[in-house]
Formats: sequence, C-alpha cells, structure tokens
Amino acid sequence: MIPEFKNLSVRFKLILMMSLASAIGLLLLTSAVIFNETRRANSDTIKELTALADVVGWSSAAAIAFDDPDAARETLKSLSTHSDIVATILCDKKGQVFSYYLSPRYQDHKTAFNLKNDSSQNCSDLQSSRIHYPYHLIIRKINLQGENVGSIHLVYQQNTLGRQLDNYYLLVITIALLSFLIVVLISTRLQKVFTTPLTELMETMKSVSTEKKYNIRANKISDDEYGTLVDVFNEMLNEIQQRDSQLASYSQRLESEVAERTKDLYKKNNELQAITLEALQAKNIAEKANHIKSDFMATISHEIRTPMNGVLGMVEILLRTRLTDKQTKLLNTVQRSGKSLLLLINEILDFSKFESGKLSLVKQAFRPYNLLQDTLELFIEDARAKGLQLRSELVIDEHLVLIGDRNRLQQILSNLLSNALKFTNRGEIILRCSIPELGQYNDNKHIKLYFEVEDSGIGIPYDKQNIVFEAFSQVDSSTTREYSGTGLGLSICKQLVSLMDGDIGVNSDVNSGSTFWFTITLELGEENLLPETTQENDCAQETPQFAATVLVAEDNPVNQELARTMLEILGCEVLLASNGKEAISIAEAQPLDMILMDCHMPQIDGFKATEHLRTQNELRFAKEQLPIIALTADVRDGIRKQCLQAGMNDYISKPFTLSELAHKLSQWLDVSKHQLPVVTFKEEDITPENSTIEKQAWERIRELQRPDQPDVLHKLIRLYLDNTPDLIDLLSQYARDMDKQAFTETAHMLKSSSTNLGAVRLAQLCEKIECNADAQINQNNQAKALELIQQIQSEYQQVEKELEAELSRPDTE
Amino acid sequence: MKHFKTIHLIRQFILLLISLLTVNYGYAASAQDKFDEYMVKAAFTMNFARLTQWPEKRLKASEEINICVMGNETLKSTFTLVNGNNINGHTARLKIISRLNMIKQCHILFISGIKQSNMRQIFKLAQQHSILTISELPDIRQSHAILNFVMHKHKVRFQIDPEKAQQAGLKISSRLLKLAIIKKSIANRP
Repeated sequence: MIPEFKNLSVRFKLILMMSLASAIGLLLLTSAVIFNETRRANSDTIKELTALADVVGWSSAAAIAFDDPDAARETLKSLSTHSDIVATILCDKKGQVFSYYLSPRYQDHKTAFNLKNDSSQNCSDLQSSRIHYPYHLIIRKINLQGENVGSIHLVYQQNTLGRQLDNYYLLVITIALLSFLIVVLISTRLQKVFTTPLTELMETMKSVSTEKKYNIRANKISDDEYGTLVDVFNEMLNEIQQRDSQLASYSQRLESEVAERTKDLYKKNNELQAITLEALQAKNIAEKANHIKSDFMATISHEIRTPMNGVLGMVEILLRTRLTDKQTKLLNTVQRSGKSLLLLINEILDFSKFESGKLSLVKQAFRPYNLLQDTLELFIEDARAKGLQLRSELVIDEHLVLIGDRNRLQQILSNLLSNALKFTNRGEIILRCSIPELGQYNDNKHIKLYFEVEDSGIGIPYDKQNIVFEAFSQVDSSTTREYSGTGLGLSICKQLVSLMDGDIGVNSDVNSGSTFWFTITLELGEENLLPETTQENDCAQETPQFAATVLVAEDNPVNQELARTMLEILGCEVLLASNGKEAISIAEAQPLDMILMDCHMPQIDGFKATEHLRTQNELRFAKEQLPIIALTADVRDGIRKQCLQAGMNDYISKPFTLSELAHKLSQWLDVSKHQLPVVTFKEEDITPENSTIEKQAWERIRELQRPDQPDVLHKLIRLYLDNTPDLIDLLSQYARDMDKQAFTETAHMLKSSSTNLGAVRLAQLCEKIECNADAQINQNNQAKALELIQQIQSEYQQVEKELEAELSRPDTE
Repeated sequence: MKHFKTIHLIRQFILLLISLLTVNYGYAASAQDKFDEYMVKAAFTMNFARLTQWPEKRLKASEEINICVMGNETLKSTFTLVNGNNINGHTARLKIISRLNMIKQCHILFISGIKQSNMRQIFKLAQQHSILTISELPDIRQSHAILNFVMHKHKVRFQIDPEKAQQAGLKISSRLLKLAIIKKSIANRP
C-alpha cells in the first residue's frame, strides 16, 4: 500500500515536487518542440515538394503543351532520386493522365493509386480524398507562359522526414530524460538544503528533550527562515535554560530552607519532648500532690467531723434537757457556730472535689415543690430573726416528680438563700421557680427548671457581677470581714449548676438588691420512683420510740457516749463495742436488732467486721435480719459504695443529728415490730415557766406596721380571737370523730396562728397533739387526746386574757 | 475550358460541313485527319509563340501577335481558333496571307502547300523581319523555316533550326528546343 502523500518524509516530498515540476516542464517543452518541429518539418516538406512539383511542372509544361509524354516522362524520372516521392502524375488540360512516374520502390502500389498504363485515365481519380495516410498529395497547376496546360500530382510519403523526426524525437526525449535525471539528482542534493537544517534542528530538539540538556544550541547555517527558526528555537532554549536554572536555584534554596526548618523543627521537637517530659513529671507531681491534697482533705474532714459529731450531738441532747433561757440561748449559739463550721468544712471539701473532678451527682426521684418548701422552711426562722419577709412564688406542679441530685439542688438553693439573707438587712427575699417556655424538651424525658432568688439587699456593682462566681471572691474583700463566708458558695453553685446542665447568673445593682437565677435540666420521673418516706411534717423533731437492741461499735468514747445517749432517747437498748473484734463477739453472743458500725476502728475496722458477720452464713447475720449501718466521718463519694460492698445496709455521716438517726432507725427497723406508739409526753418538753405570750413576736408584727394604717397587731389579735375558739371546738369534734387528717390540719393551723402571736405554750400544746395524731386518734388514746384539748382550752383562756388586755390599749401610732 | 468547348463546337460544325460537301468517304476520312492535324498544329503554333521571344521593337508591349498562315483552306479554317488567345500578354490574331508584302506585319508565319523555291524567298524575307517561320515539310533542311512540323508515329512533332532563329533575331526557349526532333541547322551541317 502506497503511503499517503502527507505522511511521506519532507525529503521525499521535496524530491517528488521538484521532479514533478521539472517533469511537467520538460514534458511541456518537449511536446512544444516536437509539435513545432513536426509542423515545421511538415510545412518544410510540403514547401519543398511543392517547389519540386513546380519545377517538374515547369519542366514538363512544354512537353504537355506539345503533347510529348515521353519527354515528360524523362523529366519525371529526375524525381526518382527523391526517396519520399512515391509517384508523380501529370495531367493534361483536359484532366486526363498525360504521363506518370511511379517510384520503383512502390511499383506494387500502382493499383493503390489507380494508375493504369493507358492514357485515358482521368485525373480526378487521384483526388486527395483517395490518397490515404501515410501517403500525401500535392497538386500543382502547370502553366506555360501564363497559359494553363495541366497539372502535376505529387504523391509522397514522409519517409525521410519521419526518420529525421524520429531521430529528433529520440534526441529530444533523451535530452528530456537526461534533464529529468539531472533534476532528480540535483533535487536529491538540493532537498538537503531544506532538510539538513531541519534534521539538525530535530536532532538538537531530540537531544534536548531526551537528555534534558538545555545548554545545547542548534547550529545556525543560513540566514533564511531556517536561520530564524533556529534563532527562535535557541532563544526558547535560552529561556527554558534560564528558567531551569532559576527553578534549580529555587529548589536548592527551598531544599536548604527545608533542611534548615527541619533542623529547627527537630530542635524544637527535642525541646518539646523535653518540655513534655518535664510537664509529664510536673503532672505526675501535681497529681500526686492533688492526691495527697485530697487525702489530706479527707483526713482533715474526718478528723474535724469526729469531734464535731461529739460537740453537735451533745449540744442537741443538752438542748433537750431543762435549761434556763440564758442557757438555751448560749447553747443555740454553740449549735449555730458548730453548724456553720460544718458548712464551711463541707464547702471546702466540695471545692476540693471540683478541683479534682471527683464530684458526681446522685440520681434520685424527688418532688421539687416539696424540696423548695423544705428549703425555704430552713430559712424562715433566720429571716424572721432578721425581720425579713421570706416568701416563694412557685409556678410548678405540686406533684411534679423529677430525677436528680436532690441534695445538691438544695445545696444551691440554700447557698443562694443564705447569701440573700446575709446581704439583706431589710425588705424581703423571694424564691421563685418556674418552667420556662422552652423548658419542655422534645423527648418528653427532660425538663428545664428556672430558679430565682431575689433580695432587696446591698446589691452587687455591675463590674463585680462576674467575679462573684469565682472561687474565694466576695464583692469587696472588706465584706469578708463584715459578712462571713469562705467565698466558695457561689463558685460551688456554679459548678453544680453546670454539672446539672444549666446556667447561673445575677441581675443586680448597687443598693437595688440582687436577683440570682439559675437553670438546671433534670429527668422527668414517675410517682412510683419516689423513695418511701415517712410523712414529713413539723413533727420531724419529735422523737419516736423504738423497742430495739442496738450495738454501737465506735472507738471514740465521746461519740460512743453520744450514740448511746441518742439511741436511749429514741427508746433503744444500747450495747457498746470499742472495735470490730468486740463487735463481732457481742453480735455472736446475743441477739441484736441493729448495729451502728464505725468504719475506722483499730484492730478490725467496720468494713472487715461487717464482712465477717455477713460471711458467717447464719440467718441472723443476714442483711435483712441484721441491718448494719455505717457511721463515718468520711464524706468522700466512694464511701457509700464501699459501705454497701462490705455488706452494710446504709451509712450515716458524722456529725449526725438525732432526727437523722431516728430516720435511719425507722427506715431499717421493722416499724410494726419495733416502733412504739408515742403515748406518753415528757412533761419536761413543755416549758411551763415560759410566759404565756412571748412579746418578741408582737415586736416582729409591729415592724410590719406602716404609717397611717390600722394597728397590725390589733388587727391580727382580733382575727385570732375570732377564730381560735371555733378551731378548738373543731379539734375536739374531730378527735371524737376520729378524723385523723382533719384533726392534724386543724391542730397545725392552731399551732401556726398561735406561734405568730407569740402564744408559745399554746403552740407547743398544739404541736404535741398534731405530732401524736397517729397515736392519739384511735379508740385507745381518744381520751388522752381529749384531755390534751382540754389543756389547750385552758391555755387559750389565759392567752385570750392577755390579748384582750393588749387590745384594750390604744392603737399605737 | 470554355475556350475548348467553343473550339470543340466549331470543330464539330466544320466536320459536319465537310461531310456534307464531300461524298467520298475516303476523302472525307482523310479530310478529318487533316483537320485534326491542323488543329494540333494551330495549338502548337500558339505554344511556339509563347516560347519565343521577339525583339522588342518587333513586338511591342500590348501589341497583338499576328499569326499569319498561307496555305489551303483547311489550314486557314482550323487556324482561326488562335484568334483572341492570350500569348504572353499579347492577343493572338490570325492573318491570312495572300501576298508577299503582307508578311511584314506577321510575327509568326506558317506556310503550307507552296513551292520550295518560293518558300525560300518568302522565308528569307521573313528572316529580315524577325518572323518565326513554320513549314510542314518532311525535313527542315529542305524548308529554310525556323520550325518545321513533321509527323512521327502519327503524332505531330517538330524540328527547329536554332541558327536560323538566331539570324532572325528570335530567342527560342530551351524547353522548345528540348522537344524538337532536329535542332541542327543545315548550315551548321558539316
């Protein structure tokens, strides 16, 4: 297959083109020459032969004129030398063949020309139409001195001419072929003029592209377009080389830079490693230190709590004995101081827990409404003492049950409330709680609560509002002295709130009070999740009676004594053990209803002793049969778990109050078996030496007096006097009807109003019947209740007398 | 061609006339031959005139060439065909000669049927006037004419005495000489 033209090499194309051009030229030239030559030769032949015919004609003219064919033939014979002439025919005037001559070479052609021997033949037979190639005919007239005598017909063949032309053509063609050959030869050489620089350039390009040597230059051979091409190419190479070298220098610079940086990096890395190592060491040290600190904290807490337990417990017990007003006052101060010391210790402990991140929340179901009420209750007394009004605006469902750390929430609220109390000298404190619009979460499992504690206190300057939540800070360092506190309270609040997925903040200004608010998110709970609690009422402080034998294992003699006293107050029979070993032997020796076990004791500690008893595989030492409750001053989070793991049922952290202890007893002892009905009242609980009316209460009421208003005290007294007799009547009626609930409520109402007006003894009596409602409102004790109502009746008569006396005085301005 | 046709017609006419006049067939045949013969001779004569050059003064340009005949009737009648023919730019004119003094005007003189002695006289005179003289004797050596018709193989041929022509001041074309049977003059004979 012939390759396409465009794919042929330039070399070949050039040769082909040049050859083709020259071939065409030569062909045209040769054709022209041959054509021209043929024509010329033809016309020459015709001219020559015409001239010859004319000469012969002239020579024969006389012969024809004188009718002498022989003479004419002689003349014609002279033509025999001419090789081209085939025949010569003379015709006379009449058009008849006069004489003819046929070349001896063509004798056999005679008939071809219709030549006959007789002279009668007509010359018209010899017209040119009858003479065919290769023969040609020339006809000339013959004149004799102007007079036509006949004609001469010359038949010829271009033998000579043909031969001549053949030679000529041969020559021309030979020359043409030779020239073509030369052209081809020259063009094969000439194409190098074009292709050589191209090939060289290509070679250069190839070597540039394969060897990547940009310093190679193409040779410039000529100043034509190729020269320009080479120049341009070289220029291009130049540029590439320049860029290449630039690039190379760049990359070199980059490399060195990278190397330098790597070195730097390596150095820095080393430094960093060293620093990390140091930091790690520091961390370890810090962790160790922190561990030591937290251990220290626990120890301190334990060490402080243990004596505090003694102090507070003893004070509590002492307060239950018959004391003078002065003594009671002093003891109350001791108790308050002890409690605030305990609070401080707790705060510091909490704070250290936050620091080490060890504080975790407990999950338990509770009613926030109750919690708020209870919390508020705690401060009512203090608020009243300070002459402040403490109230709440709770916009939540009373029966709402939530799951969360009840105690921690109470801690926050207490903190805020105590702060409010601390910094407010007059006016009011309002506790608010609501569920914000967006409080209800989509999953219906969580709820957001909003709390607010508003006071009308000294306020916080705007620029200090942020730092109040920081540890160890108070608005003014001077306030620390004026207002007590570690400055940790709000910081702890903030931490707790954030643990409960909420925010805390304050709106305040100097002298316009403060409003502390916070939000928390809690899980929604069910009614049935609530822990079974004994009906909590004002009677919590009342001492229930338990018929139980309780072993107290405690190494500290003060605490041993305290626990024994408390348990005896609660009606228990108490056994004592100074360590675990003793406890075990006592437990094994005689039947027990409960063991209070101190955790940290010499020889065998509480945990081990418990474990020992639990593993005795005796039914009486089973968890259900013999409740063991830990007594511990350790308040670390893990302690509860540790106690439970050891096989204990519960724990009481030191210092504990009588009610706490009573609560635990009622929780773990079989109430039906061990709790005794409160049937007897200890006379010493009532304070007969107290005046009927405490006038301080009246003073508190008078503080609420506003100018140009009716006397508040008188108003209240009148209200009291109007209602109380009816209430007492109702009380006795309910007692007879044995309507326990109505009885309790009426007693409570009477108690509250009496307290407000300072009728202390009456209030105490009311409280008594209220708290013993369970025991009294039944068949057996109905009489006892009625007897108590009788006492209330007589007490009221005295109160009435004094109130009447007050009313008889004119209204104070 | 037209010319030939006319001649042909004339010839046919004359032939018919003669055949009417002569009863003798043999004679008639001989007369026919004679007629043809003179026709050829008349044509030949005109050709002679064409191949002969007269002295300038004798034949001026555009002057008529007078062809004179002296002889029998056949001769005279056949030679009429030369009349009007163009000879080298001159128009031919037949002149019948009956008297001797008439020959001065002739350029060509054909004499037939007279005595040799008389003929000699006439031709000598004619020579002086540069007249191309023609006879029809068996041999030119008897006639003293420049040209002499002879019959050769039943064809009209002619003899020439170039010397006499030269003496008469006439130049006769070589082509004519080439065709002549005898070209030698008697005088040149050894």
